[in-house]
Amino acid sequence: MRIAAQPEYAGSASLRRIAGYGPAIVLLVTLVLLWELAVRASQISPRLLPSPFSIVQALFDNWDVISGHTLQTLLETVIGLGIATLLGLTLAVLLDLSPWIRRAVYPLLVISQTIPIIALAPLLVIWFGYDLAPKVIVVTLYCFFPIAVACADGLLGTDTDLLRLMQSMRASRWQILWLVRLPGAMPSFFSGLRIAATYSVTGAIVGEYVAAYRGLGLYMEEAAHSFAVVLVFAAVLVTAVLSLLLFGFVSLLERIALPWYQGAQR
Amino acid sequence: MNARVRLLLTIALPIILIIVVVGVFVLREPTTTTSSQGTTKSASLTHMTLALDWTPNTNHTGIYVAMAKGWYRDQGIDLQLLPYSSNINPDTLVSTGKADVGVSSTESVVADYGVGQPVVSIAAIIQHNTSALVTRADSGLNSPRDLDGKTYGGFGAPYETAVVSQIIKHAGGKGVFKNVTLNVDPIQALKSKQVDFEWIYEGWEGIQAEREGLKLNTFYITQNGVADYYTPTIVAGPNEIKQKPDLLRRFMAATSQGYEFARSHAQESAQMLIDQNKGAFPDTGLVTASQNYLSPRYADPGRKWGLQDAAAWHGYPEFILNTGAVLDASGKPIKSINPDALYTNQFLP
Repeated sequence: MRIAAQPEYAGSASLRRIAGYGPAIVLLVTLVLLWELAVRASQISPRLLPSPFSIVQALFDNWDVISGHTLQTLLETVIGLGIATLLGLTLAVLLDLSPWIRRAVYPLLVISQTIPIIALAPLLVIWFGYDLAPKVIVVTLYCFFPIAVACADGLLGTDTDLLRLMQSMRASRWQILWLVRLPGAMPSFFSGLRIAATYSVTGAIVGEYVAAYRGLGLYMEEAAHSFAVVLVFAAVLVTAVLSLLLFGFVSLLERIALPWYQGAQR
Repeated sequence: MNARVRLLLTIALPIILIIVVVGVFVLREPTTTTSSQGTTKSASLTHMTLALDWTPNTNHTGIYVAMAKGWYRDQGIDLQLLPYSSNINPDTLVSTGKADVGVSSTESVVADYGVGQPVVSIAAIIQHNTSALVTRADSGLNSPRDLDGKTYGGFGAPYETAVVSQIIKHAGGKGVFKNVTLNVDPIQALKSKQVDFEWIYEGWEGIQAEREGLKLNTFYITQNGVADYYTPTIVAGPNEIKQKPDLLRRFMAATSQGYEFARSHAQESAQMLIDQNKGAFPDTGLVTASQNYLSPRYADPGRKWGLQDAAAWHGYPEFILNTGAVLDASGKPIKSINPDALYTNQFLP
């Protein structure tokens, strides 16, 4: 009985899931249509505001060039996000070791986020050159903070009853961390990771905008200097899709890691 | 799925994603070449880097021609172009030794001198200043005098207020205007009436405006009270000049060959610029039109490309020094300058 019921349940769940996106899709399509109509009706110069249709067309016409730039940006993004995740997790555990460390390090983390990247990025290029390193560093700087903070907060919020139970069973500090606190912090960790994934592509583009041989940021800059606004928008579209895909990937991971949590959310 | 499988998947999937992206990137890499030329026999070639002042355009044509023709390789140079950056001055790269040579301008060379970041101009790319202040033809701003109190869309350089102000005063105005630093295309800013006037290169933005059907009032700066000076120019650092004079001589031999070719073969050289910057010029017609404008202007007829006259290197520094716009590293105006230290023709063939 139970086995037979499961696929049906899963099916209706994913249907419900897709249906959940309905309002967003309707709103998006409406906005895009309004944009298209507004551009056509008002005769705005396509050099000031291209229509959505012409943007998609330009994207397909220039895909051979844009795809190379996209791959470069994606590479910088995933490496940077990977490093940021490891760094964020490590920092969260470190912050959790003692209240003293937390009090000492936490303000530094916040300060690291107050540096305007636009001022730092040119220096990174002068220090590390034009290749991958400065962009990966920018992505990491953008992304580690939400992960570290969300995860550290998650660790703090451990169920005190569970803690007492573990202590009464003489569990070591690391056993408590591994068995109770880290799993308990996972929902917060994934919230942080989702925010980080959303920012990550933009981080790579900021890095490329400063100086690069290849990448969507460079492409946007070149297109802007060649007065091709439609290509700038095409690159923006690719950026948005990449960000959404990464966001989706993190949500997928979360569903695998915490199926009960995702289920409970709805 | 049990907990262990879930944990493994959660860790493995991101790693797989990174491996896949890196893998695809590495696989595609050999098909796309960088701007470095002559990788096969680069062992015998001297590696050299050049920092651009802007995304590739017709000011740079001669360099791209010499690269396409293999003239740098003939001189034993493996030239690599550093990508343009809106936030890193080529002069900084040259004076810190991160680049061997760069594309700059008289204005920047003088400003660099002030802050103690000296670079030396080794060739003038265009013999006369082709920059101009422009307004919309339908704006009613028909003389630089009318620009008082209007909004100027600038690019954030330390010298621009002094130059623009001088032009307005020269026409009988007060020289007071609003300066908004823009990071957008100047012609689009004019078109959408966000600003009243701009300072542009006739050979690029001027032609763009023409192609877009935007009528402009053009006030060339050299006809409006500003001394003629070279922009853009090719610069090198003082250390480079002391330590590698031979390399610079060979570099200039190939570069000058490239610009001389571009002077007489506008169409062909524009095509080389376009071919080496795939995807950078959606409107190739703009490149050709700009090249047709610029080719005869790289140097006056009968004159060798690249030569710099003392008159040009004295006029502008004196003018800008008097306005108090040349600042030292602590932001105070400097009093004197030795213009003859700012340029040299010794590396030209």
